[in-house]
Amino acid sequence: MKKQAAGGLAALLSTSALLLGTVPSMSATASTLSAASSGRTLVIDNSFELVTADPAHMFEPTGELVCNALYDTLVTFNGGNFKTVVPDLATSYQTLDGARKFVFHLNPAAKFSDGTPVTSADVVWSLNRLINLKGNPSFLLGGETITAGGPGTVVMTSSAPNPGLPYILPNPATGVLNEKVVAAHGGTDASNASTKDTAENWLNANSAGSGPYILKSFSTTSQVVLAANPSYWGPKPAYATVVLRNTATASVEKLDVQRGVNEIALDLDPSQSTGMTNVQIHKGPSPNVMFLFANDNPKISKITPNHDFQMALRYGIDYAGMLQLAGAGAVQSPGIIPTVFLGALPASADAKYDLTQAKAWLAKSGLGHPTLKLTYPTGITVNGLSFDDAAARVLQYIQQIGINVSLQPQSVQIGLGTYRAGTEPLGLWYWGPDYPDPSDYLQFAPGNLVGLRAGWTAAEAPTIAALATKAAQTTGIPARQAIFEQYQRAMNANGPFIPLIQPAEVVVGTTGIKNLQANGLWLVDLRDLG
Amino acid sequence: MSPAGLGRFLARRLGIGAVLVVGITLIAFILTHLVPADPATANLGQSALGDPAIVKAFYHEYGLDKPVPQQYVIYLWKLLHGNLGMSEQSHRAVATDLGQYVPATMELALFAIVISVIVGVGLGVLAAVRRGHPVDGGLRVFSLLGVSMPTFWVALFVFYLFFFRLGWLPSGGRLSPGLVAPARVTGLYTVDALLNGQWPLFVNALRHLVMPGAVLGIFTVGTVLRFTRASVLEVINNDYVRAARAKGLSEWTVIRRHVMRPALLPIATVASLAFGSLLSGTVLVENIFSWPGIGEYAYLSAINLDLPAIMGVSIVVAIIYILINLLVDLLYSVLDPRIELR
Repeated sequence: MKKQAAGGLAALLSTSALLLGTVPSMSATASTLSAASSGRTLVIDNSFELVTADPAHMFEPTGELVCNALYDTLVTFNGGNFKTVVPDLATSYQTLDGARKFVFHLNPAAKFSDGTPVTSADVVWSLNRLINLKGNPSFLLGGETITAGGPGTVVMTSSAPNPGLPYILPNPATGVLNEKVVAAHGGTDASNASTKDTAENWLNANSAGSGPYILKSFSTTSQVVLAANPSYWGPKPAYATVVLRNTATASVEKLDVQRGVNEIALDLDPSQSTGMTNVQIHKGPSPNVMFLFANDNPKISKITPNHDFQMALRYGIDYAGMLQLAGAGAVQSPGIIPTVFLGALPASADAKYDLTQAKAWLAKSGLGHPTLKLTYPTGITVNGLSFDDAAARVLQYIQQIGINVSLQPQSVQIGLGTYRAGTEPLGLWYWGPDYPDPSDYLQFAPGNLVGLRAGWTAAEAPTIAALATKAAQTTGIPARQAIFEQYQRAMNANGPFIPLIQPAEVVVGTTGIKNLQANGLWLVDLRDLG
Repeated sequence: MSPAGLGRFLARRLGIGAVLVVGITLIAFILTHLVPADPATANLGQSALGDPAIVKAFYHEYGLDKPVPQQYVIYLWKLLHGNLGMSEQSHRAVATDLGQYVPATMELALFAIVISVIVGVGLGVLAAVRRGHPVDGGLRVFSLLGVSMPTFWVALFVFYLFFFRLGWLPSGGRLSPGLVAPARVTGLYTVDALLNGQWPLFVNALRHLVMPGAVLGIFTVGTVLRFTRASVLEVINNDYVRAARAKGLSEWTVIRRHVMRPALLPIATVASLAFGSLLSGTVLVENIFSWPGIGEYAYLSAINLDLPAIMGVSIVVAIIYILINLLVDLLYSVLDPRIELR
């Protein structure tokens, strides 16, 4: 009997030891069990925003990270510099006919992971598929006609000038697929691709690109595993395996990376990264712009279209206070175009907090002490900055001017409805870039998509509308920089939008990773890491 | 009960269950459509929303361009054919998604309920037997703590202690990063690893289960402990129990043979209901431990207004509750033959 009890106890202890990992031979870890155990493995923690690994359907941050590693695009960006386009599949390109026509010359060395060369036919097929799928990212190439000018030449034409096109093409949604392989698995670039293309499921389990990594496994909720592409035509990737792990909680990511279990954490906010030791911390302004708007439509509000009221708001916001809330790495946004993109205003153009001026503008408006509600999406964060906290700060500043404001939080889906319908008198929202070109911010112009959400029509601001039209057609980097600055200065002087801040983008990694930096577009660029 | 009687009972209960499921689909469908928001807004980017062709294609793809009653009829027709529709958020068949997420939650809930019942019943009996003793007092405090401590707090504390400080247990997820899941048989990684003879993978999966399973089980332990204590106290002083003691049987034999059996009826009820709530209420634990289960899927479905996924989750949860209630009724008749199934 005693012997049995002792045996049972021994079994219990050994089982406990096994579970607690104190028996080295049995404590299975990634390094001992990984299928790709040869070579270095990189584990990245990220709170997944991931739907698909099919580039032509993909339009989420985690998807951009994944597709950027799997698929090459015609041109790309180097590191976090979004102001200069550099070659990828195309060695060079020409801008012709006032930016109505672009000719891209492909690198003959480029080849897919199966060893076949990347041809202009593959590029044309991939980009036409993107357009004809009519999916989330299809608008990126709206209005473009894509043809092959020869085996190594791709021609893109549009009826209207599109000088921002080279800045749109680095988006991983325009990643080039191996036509033969994907077509064999249900892919099509035909005009009815939105109903006939069935390749997405296959592309969620396999990749068919020419990027430095290939897809080994894909789950939108647990992990994505990438392996180095043995046929990669560029510099050999630094890691044999990259595991992207879904971690829903930033505090868990912090503990993971601090303990060295995982190498990179992508979702920490500035305060969470403060005080961490023995890790590398990279902070910088994200390209997300948080802004306030006062609806210009008198049918929506009798108060907010008043220009003097809008100026009172502009001077009444304590931007330093907003930055303190957002944490280190955040910057004030001098215009609606984020500071990291071409066309951004210099910091000297930042709106200045001046409560006396704000009160003077309010007095001039003749509105007395108006009462209204500030609408914002509750429960969401931008780079870790809670909209609820930001709205509370804005409320405090506006009340100091003498305006009676109360908060009207709405769940994001309901709030998006009223925001899109243009029925919010006073709103707090943010804009994340579709692509890193100032033309994306022409949406804010009077009469355009976001402008109309603030009740701002072209008839109401014809000068700014004309500036926007001119900016859309201007070519050449210096000329574009100048016109977009002019456009934003005019908006700041006479528009309903009040740009506030760009929250900080924070990436934390273990010390052994080389070239780690925050990337506002695809979170982290796996191509850069060493 | 005769086999024919049992068959009639099962047929009747399953028939009622089917009607209930249809009713639940109707309620879920109506409630989802009452939300003043647009699924296109939830699932398309802002610029895509500005392109009418993209919005039109989205509505067409998910059948949202048809009148609402017609959408419901189409849904029911597809449901009859085992088609739960396509998820707007994952772009996959809802059945495929559920096939992935339900076993993950099932594994977690099974682990939690097994631990809870073993610990809860054991401690409950101990508390009852030692009634009024400091052990009883201590266990009652423990059970009170178990049912009253916020799950997220316990989860974060346990994670900090056993992963970060002590390093005894792994971080979140079902397996260590980079490990490939065992070939699917049941979808429960521990079971599939064993069936495939992958012992190290089994250990890895089991180690990942310990923290979320224990956290999930703490609430249930408290509940089971309290019910067990009360049930045992109800029967422990009955005449037939005293008679058993008088015959000279050991206390353990008396408890096992004469006390536990009648006491098990309410325990079975509370454990089964707890299992149901574990299956459908694991959102926080799944979130903190990055467990890819149905709770997280339900949450994402709700915030993305993913109607097919919401319907799919509702149906699965309904079926789980219906089946659990059915099993409990069957268990009653096994535990107490005087109970007749009708």
